[in-house]
Amino acid sequence: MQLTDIGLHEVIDGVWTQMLGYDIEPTVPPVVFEDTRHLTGSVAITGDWDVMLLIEVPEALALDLASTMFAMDQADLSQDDVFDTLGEMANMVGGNVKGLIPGNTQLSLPTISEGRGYQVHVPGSELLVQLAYRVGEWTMETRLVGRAR
Amino acid sequence: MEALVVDDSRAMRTILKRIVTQCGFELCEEAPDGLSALRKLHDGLRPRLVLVDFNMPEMNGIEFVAAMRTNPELHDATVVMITTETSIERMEQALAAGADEYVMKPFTPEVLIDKLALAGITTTSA
Repeated sequence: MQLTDIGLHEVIDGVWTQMLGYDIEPTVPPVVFEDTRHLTGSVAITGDWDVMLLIEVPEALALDLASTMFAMDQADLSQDDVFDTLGEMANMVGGNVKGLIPGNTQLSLPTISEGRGYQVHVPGSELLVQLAYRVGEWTMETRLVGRAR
Repeated sequence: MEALVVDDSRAMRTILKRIVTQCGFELCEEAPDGLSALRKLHDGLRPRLVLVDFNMPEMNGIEFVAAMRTNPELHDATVVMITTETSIERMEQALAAGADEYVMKPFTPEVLIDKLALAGITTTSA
């Protein structure tokens, strides 16, 4: 598999920095959200590999992202706007990650989880890449878990 | 000039519509999937430019482009795939279905604006 920390970082940088204009600074994973309300955007890459791409952000950062993408005040955003934004973030990162994985694979539609104090596990998978970043006053994490078939 | 943006993400449709408007299109319709977009074309929409995502529910981008190209009234429309897909095979499928250009996500507004200028459908360049 050609996916490396550098490969995933370039994809993340392309979405967050080049497209959306955020300054992101690498930090040491894992990001612990504890009791902070947070959201997870995920997409599955299936086929010759079974891979799950997870982007975890605090709710405040999810709101900021949605405000940036929709060019709207946070107060005017709906919950669906926030979910849609994080889903598209997962779709863009996941789609580019798919291009780094050899063999025949398909990309799923994104899903969103939200809440406090939860963790996302993918049974039977190993952690392939885990990167964390400071984004303004917040911290976010992108993980790739999976296995070859 | 009219444009049509087809993407299942409202956030992405919002970004694309902003850029298209910046390029001088007076009207920009949107649809969340290929089937809804086909209905708009069936109802008489005749866009000069169509921006299409690859992966969508109901009907994906390639199926949509192939279906819209069967209408002779839409042969002159410029179709740009907006996609995270990086495989050559998928690009070839899109071009074979009738797409004219493609832009990879993530993109900057400047990249898309330049692509539209190169395609000859706007005079604006970034």
